[in-house]
Amino acid sequence: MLIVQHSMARQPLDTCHRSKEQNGNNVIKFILSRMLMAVPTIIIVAVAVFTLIRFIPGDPAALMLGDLADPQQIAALRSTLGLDQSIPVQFMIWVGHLFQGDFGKSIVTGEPVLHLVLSRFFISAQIVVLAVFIASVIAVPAGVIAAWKQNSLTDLALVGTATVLLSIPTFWLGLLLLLFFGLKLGWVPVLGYVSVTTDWKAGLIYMALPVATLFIHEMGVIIRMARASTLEVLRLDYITHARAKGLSEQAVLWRHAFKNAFGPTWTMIGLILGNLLGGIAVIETVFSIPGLGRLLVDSIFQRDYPVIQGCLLLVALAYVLVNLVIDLLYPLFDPRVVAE
Amino acid sequence: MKKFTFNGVIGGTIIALLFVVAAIGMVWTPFDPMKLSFSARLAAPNGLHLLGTDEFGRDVLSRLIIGAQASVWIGLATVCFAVLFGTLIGLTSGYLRGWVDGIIMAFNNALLAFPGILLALGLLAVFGANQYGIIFALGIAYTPSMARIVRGAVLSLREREFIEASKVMGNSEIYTILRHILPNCLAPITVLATSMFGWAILSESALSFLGLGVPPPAPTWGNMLAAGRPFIEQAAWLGFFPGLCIAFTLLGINLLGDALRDKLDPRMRGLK
Repeated sequence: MLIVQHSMARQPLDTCHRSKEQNGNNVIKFILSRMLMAVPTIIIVAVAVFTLIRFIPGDPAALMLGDLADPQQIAALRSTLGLDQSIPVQFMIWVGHLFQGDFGKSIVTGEPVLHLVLSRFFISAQIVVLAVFIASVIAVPAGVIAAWKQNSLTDLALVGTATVLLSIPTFWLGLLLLLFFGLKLGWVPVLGYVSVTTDWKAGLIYMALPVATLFIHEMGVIIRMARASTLEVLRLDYITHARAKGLSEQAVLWRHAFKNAFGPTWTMIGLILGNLLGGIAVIETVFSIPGLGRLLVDSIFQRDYPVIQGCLLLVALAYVLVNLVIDLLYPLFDPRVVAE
Repeated sequence: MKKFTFNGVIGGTIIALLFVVAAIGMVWTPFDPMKLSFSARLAAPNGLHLLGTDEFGRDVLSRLIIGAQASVWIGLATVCFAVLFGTLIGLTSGYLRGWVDGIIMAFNNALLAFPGILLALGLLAVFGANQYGIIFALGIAYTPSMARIVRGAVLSLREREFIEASKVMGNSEIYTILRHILPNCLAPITVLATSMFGWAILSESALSFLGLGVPPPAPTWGNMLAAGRPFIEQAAWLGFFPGLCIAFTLLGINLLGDALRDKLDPRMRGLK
């Protein structure tokens, strides 16, 4: 409903005659088509993760059970996985297990993979979401201002800072912050981790540095994106028109330019969220956080294939879903995508 | 416009310096980068060891120089892989169109739906953690973006009159593609390849930092940084200098990439 009202308020002239009903249909069509578009991606993601284990030389059942398994166990798993069947049947059996929440068991700890992966996922997600949120709140206005003052000293300083921030590897920045705030100043603990759910105060303190590291880095990316898309918009005729109408620069910038310029930046924020979930392993290593990235890397070391599969699948799904949600919310900033 | 040229020169200089340092490392380093010296363990930067020594008494500067080689080699090899296969796939898909294009692009877009580093991690689980594993994993992870850019360029080029003219003149399709279409795709390929060189260097150091890259004792900036991590309090230089090298290299690539984009491909301006 919110979307409909919003899009009515900002419909371009040629679609103004459309009834509210038509617009509502468009919104539903838009949502359905975007959700359908995610389905083939999810299928191919599942196929890719399934195939990956089949690429590793050796018997998948033996790989899944590790070096200590005896032949009977291997034979039992072979029949559960349907390894004597054809590959497509094996795939369907695997997908069937996934739908029942059965992602297999960790070779190393024997824990069910789904439980293990989900618990680690929330630790990583907290950090990533918080960091991207703070970075966006600071960087988007900064980028808009840089574009508005194009080629001024402010612009030069903002773009210069952004380019430097974006060039600093997160794992190095993390170590420097740890050295300075942890060891030299002693403001934050250097080792260990406390979850916000057990003790929120301590949890926040442990999260401070990893979040700071990520948002400082991502700020660079978002400032440049917000600046570039605002520059594109500021060149358009309707901005000249708004200025000619005698609107204040503030109104032109925030009410007219910003709204239209935010779309590409919004998409970018979605990509960053997904990429960080994949790339957070380095940050978790620096700050010894038991998150999903660390779990994936440790599982690769230990050749814990069921866990590797689970991590890859979950992160790829999260990436697809985050981008789907970002797409679905896009009309809030740019109702034209629904009208089309 | 002037500002960008200035940035481009700075970026180009940094990258040229990287290549020169890597080349010098092939014939000369101040010390043997692998030589252990227990009397000189964890020495702070001094007149003899300009950037200090590590926990085994090895000269940090010499190891950084050899590390530059690893970065350049893995970066270039990854980019070559992605450019070669991405261009081939993009050309085929964009030129043939139809169902071939449909199938190739469906796969391509699904691969693009993976975060690059995740795809690389998954592939490393298969290929094993070593420099060739990294090159294959990153190369495969980057190929889809290259294929998409090239396909886009080919799709618009093949409608142009000079392509039509080449066909009318009786040139073979292969000749037309190689002589007329490919050279006109070089601008977007160059711009993307420059960024990829940066991504590859960053990803290689991140993977080496995680212990999934080039295994020690061979020095790379990433594994030096990882090895320096336990000593961060007593010997901060061990982690500081490798990180600084990575940051400078990336800064150079970003500046050069921006300048190239503005010069070669105005359409891509504003992306990233």
